[in-house]
Amino acid sequence: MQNVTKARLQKEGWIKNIRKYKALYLMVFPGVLYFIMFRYIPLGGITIAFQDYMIFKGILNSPFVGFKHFESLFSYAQFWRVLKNTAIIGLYNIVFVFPVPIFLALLFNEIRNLAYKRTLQTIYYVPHFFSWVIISALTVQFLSLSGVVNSVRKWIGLEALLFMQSEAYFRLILILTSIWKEAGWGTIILLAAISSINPEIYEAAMADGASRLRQMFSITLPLLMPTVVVLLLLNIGNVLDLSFDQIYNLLTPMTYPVGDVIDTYVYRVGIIQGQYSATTAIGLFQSLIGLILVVFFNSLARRYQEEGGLW
Amino acid sequence: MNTRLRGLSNKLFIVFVLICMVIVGCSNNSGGNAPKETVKETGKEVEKEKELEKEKEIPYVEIWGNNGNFKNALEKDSPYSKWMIDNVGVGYYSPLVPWEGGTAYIQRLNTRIASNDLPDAFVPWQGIEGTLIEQGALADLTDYLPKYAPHIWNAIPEDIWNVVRTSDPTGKGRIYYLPRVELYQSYGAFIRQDWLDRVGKKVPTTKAEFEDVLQAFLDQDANGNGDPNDEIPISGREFGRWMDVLFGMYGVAMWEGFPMWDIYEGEITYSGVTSNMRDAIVNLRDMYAKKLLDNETFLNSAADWSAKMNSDRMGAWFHINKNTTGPLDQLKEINPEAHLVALPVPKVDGYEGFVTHKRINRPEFVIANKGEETVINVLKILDWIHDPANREENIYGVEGVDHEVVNGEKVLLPPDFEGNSAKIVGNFVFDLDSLLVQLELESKGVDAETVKIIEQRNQIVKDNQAYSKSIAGDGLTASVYEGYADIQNHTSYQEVMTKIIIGDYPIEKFDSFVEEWYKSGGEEVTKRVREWYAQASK
Repeated sequence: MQNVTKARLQKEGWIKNIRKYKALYLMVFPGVLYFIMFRYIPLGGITIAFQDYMIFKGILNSPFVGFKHFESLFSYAQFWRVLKNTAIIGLYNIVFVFPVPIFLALLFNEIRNLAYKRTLQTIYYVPHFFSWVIISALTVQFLSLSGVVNSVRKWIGLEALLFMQSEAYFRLILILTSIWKEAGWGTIILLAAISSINPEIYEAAMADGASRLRQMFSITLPLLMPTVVVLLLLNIGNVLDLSFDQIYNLLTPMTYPVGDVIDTYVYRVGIIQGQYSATTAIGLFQSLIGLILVVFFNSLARRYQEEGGLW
Repeated sequence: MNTRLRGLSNKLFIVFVLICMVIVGCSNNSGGNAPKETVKETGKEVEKEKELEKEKEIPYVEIWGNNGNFKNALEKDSPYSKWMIDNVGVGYYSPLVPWEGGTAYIQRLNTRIASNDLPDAFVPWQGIEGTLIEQGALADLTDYLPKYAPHIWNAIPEDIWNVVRTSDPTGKGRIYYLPRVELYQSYGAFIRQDWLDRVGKKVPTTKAEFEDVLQAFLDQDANGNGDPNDEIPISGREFGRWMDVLFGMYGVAMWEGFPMWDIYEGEITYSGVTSNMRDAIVNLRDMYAKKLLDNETFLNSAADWSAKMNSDRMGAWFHINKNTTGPLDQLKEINPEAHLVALPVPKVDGYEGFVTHKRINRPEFVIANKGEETVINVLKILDWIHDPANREENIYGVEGVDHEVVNGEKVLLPPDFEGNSAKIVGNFVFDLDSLLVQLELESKGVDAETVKIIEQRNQIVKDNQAYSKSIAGDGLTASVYEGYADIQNHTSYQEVMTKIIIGDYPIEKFDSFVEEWYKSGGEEVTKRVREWYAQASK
């Protein structure tokens, strides 16, 4: 099929091809335009990472300084701490947060009462629509001296504990709040993928006497895997791109040693000091790491899965 | 059917391509002049029809500042703008930018800066003026001030202008900002006299008495509500902010929770790395362990902190003395006996305690470099406010908005946060005498309850003056921090200070922090500050 199209394309030329499939081209055109305008043209802005960019002089007139901003990033006293925290939290997000929606989607899928299922799904979607400011304020209240957790601790005779200012609990709080806010929302794509599984497969399995659990593990999960892998790869690409809003709102100086990440550092340097070049350099560095990881894991996915990976 | 459909899709395709070409064409040109000009012209024509020549005559300037709790933008036809048009012939407007301790404001301001569209005049925040001056984005005010803002020019002492001149990065000593000048001590600590009465203690003056009082607040039912466990002796805010007196008693120059530069061992030094700071932290760690210092201090947001104060749970605190009417207003609802007095800086043996006084509180306004007309229009408004002849009119504001006339006398109205907008521009040069006159006028015609509160406040303002000390780093230009964001933001100081106080780190960590601080840029910044000081104190 692909070969036929290719051959025909070569024979008849691309103009004829466009004329022939104009409806398809028409449909793809807005998407292509979007990517050119909002994804490719702004890439030119990367140049400011190599300049001492001044807003009022613009890209064309700002002095070119080469790798100065990269050097100052790597020589920043806390660079390794910030990078380590970013990598660890990113890893935790993939190991602990990423699987939760899969688990949740499988559970939702087993609910037979439609009304109950819809209600439950809606309840799980709700936290997604709250901003991190609200979620973190709730979390801080929940864990404060007069909050629910410490009231229970006092009731059973334990000392009150300020979790928010403890290094030991900070990353756990990040994971739990991430799950709380996004796990329900994350099931949407997965449920759509599950609903596209051919029901005949289930019918055949049932005829062979497969239990509900057996069906889940031998049909739903394996057929869901390609979607999961694509989602995983997309996540890995953003592994160093943590949720700034979440961390910024939960972070205190007392948890800097475990929670100060690239994004909070960028905020201090960039937004507060207005150093656009330095922050662009950091962003470029983050993207580069992301790109390397995606290419690596994509090749792994292609090796171990038929038609696996993003490309 | 099929051919008709195909024809339709053909036409649709052409129309679509045309629309896209228009969009692409326009977006490519939006930076250029041609399309903008046409839009402007048609817009002007419409306006001309409506407003005729009036629009041409009245210039408007856009001014950004602290909106406080007001929920409305200041429009061109707002009462305040009309008020200024009546007085100086210049109107002004301001969008609703939330303040939130300055963080929300600076984000919005940075967005405007990034799009190369500065407001005509604005409050610069966190040293943003430094980079803007360097790039020529702000107007040089030196030559305009004596002529167009004589009242501001004369109200501010010359030595303060000299410090302002040091912020010129070219070293030519030009003036780029209007400073907020406080010639009196606007900060101070306060303690609840009614709590002291209930636990049978006097206002403490030494460290030992102070701790004794705080212990009594903690142990007894100081607020008299029947529950001896809900009292918080003293509290501060996240990042160790708003508890300056607890550092100041050890001679630490601290301003709103940020360590300042002052003379230590004969040279201007960052107070965050001095032995005074070390000793203050040791004491605070002790207070924290005894629960004399609120154990939630470093998690308190501004709202949490005020809530504790306003709900009659906090015995002592540090803030802006003029604003103590706020919590007192709230407290009278819960506890009619609430009585607040000034808390002296507790005397610690071997230390000269004080509350930091910065005469230059911060740069209050800068004007964008958009030409002479903008500078003059902004200065006209600001100078009118600072003309002593207009003092009373300034305090009473606009009739129906800020005051009403009862029996021929002007009576101030409580602020209507829902219905009105903030004034944005106001007096920014304060001395004690004119402040007291203003406070006096404010209490005219209000009810007896409010008079009681205002009198308490006025006494606190007077009593706080005794503990004030000006610091050497007053008016330090933000450009000394260039390239050292973490030093400017006090990042590692805040980490080590909070962690020692809550007991996570041993005090020895402070010594390694000092070493680290100097190594990671502190040396260079200290060098710059000392050069600046040599120039500023000339």
